[in-house]
This record gives sequence, structure tokens and C-alpha cells, in this order.
Amino acid sequence: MSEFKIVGKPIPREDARAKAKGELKYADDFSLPGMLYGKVLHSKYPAAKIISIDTTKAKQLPGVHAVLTARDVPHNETITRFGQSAEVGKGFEGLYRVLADKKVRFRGEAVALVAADTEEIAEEAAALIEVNYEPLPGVFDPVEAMKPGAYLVGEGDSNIICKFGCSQGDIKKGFAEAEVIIEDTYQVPFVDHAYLETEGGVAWIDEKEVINIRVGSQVIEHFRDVAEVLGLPHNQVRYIGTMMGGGFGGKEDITVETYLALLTWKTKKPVRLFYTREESILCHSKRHPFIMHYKVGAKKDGRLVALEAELISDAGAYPYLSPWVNLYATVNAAGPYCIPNVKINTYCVLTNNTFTSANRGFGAPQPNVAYESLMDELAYKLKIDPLEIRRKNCITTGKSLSTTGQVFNTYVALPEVAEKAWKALGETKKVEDKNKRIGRGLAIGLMSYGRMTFLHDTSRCYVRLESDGSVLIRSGIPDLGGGQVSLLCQIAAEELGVPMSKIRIYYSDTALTPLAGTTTATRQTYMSGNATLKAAREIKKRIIQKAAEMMNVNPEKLVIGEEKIIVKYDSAQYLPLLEVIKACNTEGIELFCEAQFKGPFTMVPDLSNIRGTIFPDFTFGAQAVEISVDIETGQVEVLKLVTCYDVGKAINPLSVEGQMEGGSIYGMGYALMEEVVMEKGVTLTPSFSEYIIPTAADVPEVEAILVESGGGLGPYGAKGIGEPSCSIIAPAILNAIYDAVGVRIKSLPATPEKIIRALKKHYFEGR
Amino acid sequence: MSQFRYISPKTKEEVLKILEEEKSEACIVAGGSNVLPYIRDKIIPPKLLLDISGIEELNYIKKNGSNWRIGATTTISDLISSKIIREECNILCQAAEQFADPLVRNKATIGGNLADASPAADTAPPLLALDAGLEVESKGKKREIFLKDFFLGPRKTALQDDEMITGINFKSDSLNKPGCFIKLGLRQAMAISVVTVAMVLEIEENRVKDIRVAMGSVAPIPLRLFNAEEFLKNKHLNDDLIEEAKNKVYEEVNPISDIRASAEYRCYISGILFKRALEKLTNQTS
Ligand SMILES: Cc1cc2nc3c(=O)[nH]c(=O)nc-3n(C[C@H](O)[C@H](O)[C@H](O)COP(=O)(O)OP(=O)(O)OC[C@H]3O[C@@H](n4cnc5c(N)ncnc54)[C@H](O)[C@@H]3O)c2cc1C
Repeated sequence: MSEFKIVGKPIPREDARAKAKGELKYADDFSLPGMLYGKVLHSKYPAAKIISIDTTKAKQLPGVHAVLTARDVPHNETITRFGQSAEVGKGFEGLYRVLADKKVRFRGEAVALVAADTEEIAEEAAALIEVNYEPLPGVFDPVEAMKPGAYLVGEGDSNIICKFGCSQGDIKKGFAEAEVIIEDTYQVPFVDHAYLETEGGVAWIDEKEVINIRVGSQVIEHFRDVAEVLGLPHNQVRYIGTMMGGGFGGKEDITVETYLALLTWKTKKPVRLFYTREESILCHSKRHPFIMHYKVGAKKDGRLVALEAELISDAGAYPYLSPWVNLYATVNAAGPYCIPNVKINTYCVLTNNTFTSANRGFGAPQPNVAYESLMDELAYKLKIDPLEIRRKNCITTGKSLSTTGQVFNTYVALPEVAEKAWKALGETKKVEDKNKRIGRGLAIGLMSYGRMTFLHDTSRCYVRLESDGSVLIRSGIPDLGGGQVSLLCQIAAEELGVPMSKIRIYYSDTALTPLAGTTTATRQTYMSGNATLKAAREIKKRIIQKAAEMMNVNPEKLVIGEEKIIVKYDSAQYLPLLEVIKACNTEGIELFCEAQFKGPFTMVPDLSNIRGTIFPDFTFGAQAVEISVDIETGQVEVLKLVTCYDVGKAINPLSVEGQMEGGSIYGMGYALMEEVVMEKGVTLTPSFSEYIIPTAADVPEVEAILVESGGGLGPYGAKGIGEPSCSIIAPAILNAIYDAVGVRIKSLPATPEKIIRALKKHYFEGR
Repeated sequence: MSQFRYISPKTKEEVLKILEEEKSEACIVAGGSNVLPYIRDKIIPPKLLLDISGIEELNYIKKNGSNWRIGATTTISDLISSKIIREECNILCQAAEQFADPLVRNKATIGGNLADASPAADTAPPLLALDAGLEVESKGKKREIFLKDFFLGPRKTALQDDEMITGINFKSDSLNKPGCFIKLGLRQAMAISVVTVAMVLEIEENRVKDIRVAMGSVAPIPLRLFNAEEFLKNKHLNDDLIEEAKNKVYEEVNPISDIRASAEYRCYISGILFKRALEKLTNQTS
């Protein structure tokens, strides 16, 4: 498609210069005169009754403007929503409680809020709030919490917040036909998003009595939820989103916005509130840990005949996005394989741990660890090459997902990406060290992009061609650092035939920009990309129509590019864009457009047996690694990492590669070192000293291979890549460890100690 | 933070005078890479912060004959960029290169690293292996403390309230070159050690003529392994002997379990790193 001028080109992003020069104003780079500092008092117990809260001393401290508890919150209990417009029913909506009331459910739960003249005073005041707790036993293990008679985390009569099922074929018959059966249990831990920028923002009340919240959020549509907490009309709360220093799902729920709104509403002054790193780790959401029991049956030639899985996940203390995440896990549980007989059961359970919610991959990476480890075991058992067994079983074009039966009518790149990733590892690296063993691992996977179709997703964008030929875009799109904003500029520039430098964009403002929906679910290229495309094309159509009249040619003969309207195949015949704009303006032809893009709509599925179309489409990928394992220390070094995805169309290859590389390292941390350790609800990894993530020095050589089938639902055939990019690497690394030293690590992270304990059983047994 | 007082004297004498007056009310800050996190975590209550990072006379690396002297405010980066350290006392260079990351290394000082008395302090094992001594001063008084006697427990040292470390000294003897430092951390940079080992060794006709070895993160303090040293002295090195020596190491170390590793893993790794250091040094010398 060589006719593209801007799309598909590795060009610098709209936000690149400001970021490189340090000029971009993040949420924290902002203050207002008379601004107060907010602090949250967090619960010090994971489970306790609140007997009383005495705020007298805190309120008396000079410099304190407000001390709020649950009693001061107009609507302290509402329902969690995530910007969806369709009614989805009880199965998905959980309790959103602003401040703990009567009972605390996790250590770190917000109990009270303070606003004061300085951060120090706010901190001191928080310490002066006397909370009288009566500790309760609590429950910290989801399996325990599921049992009848278990400690009840919430007010309901069971800790199980959702139970999903999926099946096809006849599972009994399937296992009866199997010639080999493998059964195993895999565990994945709590992990943190570890974004550079913690949760925070500044709020103030303007002259229209509107609460403005300037904050880093993936879901600016939460303005409605904040308004409901305060009992205000929706149009009295405004979110102004900033460019973010990372979201990864952690800014998908409300973070501190309600606290900011409450404090500014009570004090009538601007308030700033930012979480410290410790608060971010202790008090905000984590990735769901899962216990995954899997059983697969295959024929001797490696063909899969049956798969049964039971997934149990830990929701922590409040539901938040747990039902959605577990739905993803359920749909993804059988992986990208054609299996005639499948049965999946998923349970999500409340505990008194820190709550869990969205984290890049959203329930897809967890089962991927299990089924891709199992595929590897099967390959070894049957002495089949890891690539071959995947090629033999993977979904191909025209086939369907083995959980829901959703049929793939567009190109399914699985065989291609698997082969490309595996081959790209090239020659085996030689290592001199006698203690190091080299191993290779492969994993494939799929993940949806775009929201669940029963959410009835839409996005909007406004584009205006100015009288001087420059372009203005307004879109509610939040940019997490992935280049979401720049992408829209590129699309408008391409369609209107102007250079990137002539595009200006306003984004992420619930009062002034058309709502574009959430930057979650890998949906923005697809949804807002299409909305922008639609708006820009509408304007282009009008321009071309006018130009055709002016040139007296058939509009079909005209193309737009380089600020000209040109006759196809005859570039000498053209009109400058400016002239056509002038003509349009003279005649009152609208050179602006707000367009809405609508995803496919379906009904809410039967949750006990989820079938049919749940997601608009999927992205397919494969990752391969070569690693070394030190057989004396258990240390793993990733030597080479290949990531290969069918991205449909890379609108900006630099951004796509960035996602693929970053996603790989995100997943590599998950595989090898990241874990939020909680002991009876107490986080033992409260800072980046204990919670370790890969550093630049840990990043191996990464090769990103982009397949561009053009088969996606996004603009120009693009698919989404943000989340899929991190969802496959972990089992590839586990498989490589097995290949290197014959040890199968079944619980993440694969730390040196776990590997050594498996390798040197005899040494550790006596100790 | 605002309740802290702050002062940055320009001379050592000024520091000693303030220390004499304020005693435990003063807190020396060199690079601040321990002090600042402690303040944030409220481990250090509001005090007088006595910033010594600007005192030129305490920043030096000197070698006079076989006598080495390193000033207390010498940073970890200074150690890395010193040619003489790299060439003639490489064990310290190895430790410095595996310390934190370049930003922290620019701030962190060798004096602060020792005074902080963490069992994981990365400069402690090499300096213990070098048989280093600390030059300690208070107003009008100087004394020397052997590093092996300096650490009393986690964050506990033999320093008095009015004393500061002004420098570190050691001798280069036949052992010092070559030396070996190995750090096992959970990632490639910015890792607090799980176990470290520092070793200097002299071999004569495959016989251990002399050896000094120390380890980090395996006991409440950075540890000299005197028993393992004694055991190896005058013996011919071979695989069986190394295995036996590892058992001596296991007896001497006394690690804890924490978030980074279990005591058992640390103990096991101490044997492995001990063996690796021996192997590396014998390969280099033979
Ligand atoms: C991100 C990070 C990574 C780190 N990584 C490592 C690592 O890899 N290895 C490692 O060993 N350490 C590491 N540390 C710990 C720390 O950087 C070191 O211990 C450093 O050497 C401390 O030196 P400083 O000059 O910053 O000490 P400061 O913080 O200024 O002081 C530390 C202590 O020593 C006292 N003190 C300082 N100088 C003197 C003196 N001359 N006389 C008497 N008392 C004194 C202070 O009062 C204080 O109690 C890390 C710290 C951070 C924040």
C-alpha cells in the first residue's frame, strides 16, 4: 500500500518533542494558588471492625482544612462502572465504597481524608485521627475463602463474586479418546503495574461551580461516577486528563479522583493529592493471582482432543474489574487451539488482600502461562518439536475459538507468527561458562482487542479543517504513553493530505472533547482510530466534491495529498488545498465533523456457558526466547527475545515496536522477578527495593517482527497490540528454563531460588 | 522534612566541633542515599543534618608505598574512575561496578556505606578481605578501628556519638592482587545483594599460602570467614578440599530469610560463591 504518505511510516510522535525536552506537563506538574494538600489515612489492618473514628485532634491541628470519614461522603457506596453505556446487569457490577465504613477489608483501604496547607501538616493530621479497630480473623487464600463457613470479607453471604463457565463437545468422551493425558496446577502471583507516575492529580472548583479534576486516568468517563458519589449532576464534574507516565490498567479504576473531588468540594479550595510509591503498591489494584488446574488429553500424534480447566482467582477485598478480568480469563483459557472437547470453570473470590483489577493483558496472560507450559510438556512427552505441536493444533483462518466457538473469518496468523518467532532465534549462542546451560522456549497466544461486544462500545472524534489548512482535532482519548494521541493525528494528516506539523490535538477533557471511551482493552487504535478516520473522511469527501466541481472532473478521479487535490495519475493537474478550503468557506460548506464509531453489539451472554461472539476480534502472536540458566545459582539470563505479532497494519511502526518491546519486558518481569508478596494481607514488598522489576541492564536483545495482514477491524486493517504484546512471553521463558535444565517451574516468578530448589532437591531436602 | 535543621560545614574540624556539641542530635549525611530513605520512612527522627559531602579534604585516594588511604567521602563512582584502584586494587573496583546504578554511585560514599553497617554493604567484604582499618576522629582525638571489629550488628557500629569516619586504610601485600568480588543479586543492576563474596589469595605451588575472605548478607554483619581461611591455609587445592572448605563456610555463615531469599538458599549460595572465587583466583594465578 505504497500510496500512504504518513500512515505506516516510522515518524516521530506528536508528543515526542515535548517529552524529550521535558516540557510536557504531567499531572504532578501543576499547581494553583492557595492549593491544599490531600492525604489518605489507610487502614492498618487487613480485616477489622471500625469501632469508632475520632477526628477531633486532627481537625484542631493548625493548617488543617478538612478531615473526612465515610459519614461525610454523600453517597459512600455506589456501583463500579467503567464507562460502559449499556446495561450489563448484576453479574458485572460490584460495590464501590469510597471510604471504609464499619469494617475494613484490606490493609491500605482508605479510612479518612485530610486536606491541609502543607503535605507535612496533612500527614501529621492523618496520624492524629484516632481509629479504634477490633481486628478480625480475615481470609487470605482464595481456596480457603471459597469454602462454606469461611470468614466473609464483605457483607454478602459468600466470598465468591463470580463463576463463569464455557464448554464445547463432550469432555468425558474427549478424555476417553485421549492417548496421553497431562494434568498440572500452575500459579501466578499478585503483581504491580509499577508505572513511573503514581496515582494523583489536582482538583478545583471553577466559577461555574464545576469540580475540575486534572488527573492521569485511563477512563475519564469516571466523571459520572464521581458526580454520583457527590450527588451532583454529571455535568458538574469535569475530568481533564493529562498525558500519563504509564497506565497498564492501574488507572482504569477510579484512583484518587473521588478523594480529590470530596476534599475540594468540602474546602472550596484547590487540592492536590498524589500517592507515594508505597501507597501505590499497598493501596491500589494489583494483577489477579490465579491458581489454575489444567488437564489436557491428546492423541499420540500430538492432536489435542480434550482440555479441562478450573481457574480460581483472588479478587482481593473489593470486586472492581474482577468479573471482567475473569471473563477474559475464561474465554482465553483454552488458548489459540482447536480442541473438540473443552470445559472451563472460573471462580473469582474475595479475600482480605489488596484488591485486584485490570493489569495489561486483563486475564489473558494468566491462563497463557498454564496452557503454554502444558503444550510444552506434551511436546516433550510425545517427542514432538515445540513448533510442530503448536502448528498442528493452533486455530487457522475459518476455525473457531474452542471456548466460545467464535469463528475467525479474517486471517489467523498463528502458524506464520509461530514459525517466524521460532526461526528468528537463529544460531544458538555459545557460552563459555561451564555452569551455564542454554535453553529455548516458544509460546503462542491470542488476545482480544476492543471491548466486550455486549458493552456496546462507541467512540467519537471531532476534526476541523481550518481556513489556513491547519487541522484541529478534539478527542477524549487518554494517552498512557503508548502514542494514542499521536495516532489520531497521523490518521487525520493522512486523510486530509496535510503534514503532521499542521495538526493540533486537544484530548482527554470530558467537558470539551467528544468522549472517546476508555484507553483500556487495547481499543483506541481500533475505536478512536476509526472515529477519527470517519470524521476526517467526511471532511475529505466534501473537499474532494468541491474540488471536482472546481476542476470539472469526476470526484472519483481525485486524490488528496501534500496539501493538494490532485487528479489521479496526472499530478500536474491539481488544486491547492487552500483554494478549495476558501471556496468551501465562501459557500458555507462544513469543514468540520464529529463522528462516532460503533463496534459490533451483542447481547449479554449466558455466563454459565459463554458462547458466541464476546469480542470484536483478536490479535495473534508468538514469542520465543533463548536464555541461559546457571545450574549452580539458578540465575536466568534472557539472551535473545523475539516477539512476532500480526498487527494488521502498523500505523506508526515505531510505536508498534515500542509496544512489542515494552510488552515483552513487562512480561519478562512477570516471568522472572515480579511479585507483590502478601502475608496474611500484609504487603512485604512495599517499595521498589523489594518489588523488583527489570532494569535497562536486564533487557536482552529484542527483535520485533511485525506481520501486517491488513485483516484487523481498525483503520487501514490495524489490530490492537498494547495488551497482547505482554501476554505470551512468560511461558516462553518457563519453557526455555525447562529446555535448559529440565526443571518445570509452575509458579511465577521463576526466581533463582525456585530453580535451584528444583535442581538440587537432595541438598535442600535435609535442611 | 521541614523540621530538620541542615548545615554543610566546609572543614573536618567544623564537623568534629558540631559533633562534640550535638552528639546524637546530629546525623552525618554524606551521599544521603541511606539517610534520605530513612528520613522518609521515619527511621531517623528530626535532627540536625550535617552534610559532609562538600568537604574536600575527606575525598581522596592515595597510595604511598604499600600504604593505601581512601577518604570517607570518596564516592563509589570515584572508586570506579580511579586508575590506580582499577589496576592495583581491582577487588574494590569490582565491588564498585556492581553497586546500585550510576546515579546512586555518584552520590554514595565509601564512608557512608561502612557507617551504615548493613550486612549487604557492598564495599565491606572487599575491605574486610583487604584487612582494612578505619580512621576515626572526634574533637581532639584520633583512633583506628579494624574493620573486622567495627560492625556490631545491623546498623550498629563501634562509632561513638561524637565520632566520624575520616578515612580507610589498608596495606597492599602479596595477597591484594589479584582479588575477586562476586555479587549475587536478583537482577543485573540496582540489586541489593543476596550474597556477596570477596577474596584475596596467594597460591604457591598449588598450595594456599595465604587467604582472606569475607562475605556479605550471610550474617548480621559483613563477615570475615576466619575458620574457612585457617582451614585452607597451607593445603593443596583440589576439588575435594574445596568441598570440605564449603562445609566450613556453611558453619560460619548465619543468614536470615527475607523477601529476597531464604536462609537456606543464602547458605547454599555462600558455598557456591566461595568455590567460584577460589576457582577464579586460582585460574588467574596459575
Ligand atoms: C537505590 C539505592 C540502591 C542502593 N544500592 C546499593 C548497593 O548496590 N550496594 C550497597 O552496598 N548499598 C546500596 N545502597 C545503599 C547506599 O547507597 C550505600 O550504603 C551508600 O554507600 C551509603 O553512602 P552515603 O554516602 O549515601 O551515606 P549516607 O546516606 O549519607 O549515610 C549513611 C549512614 O552513614 C553515616 N555516615 C555517613 N558518612 C559518615 C562518616 N564519614 N562517618 C560516620 N558516619 C557516616 C550517616 O550518618 C548514615 O547513618 C543503595 C541505596 C539506594 C537508595
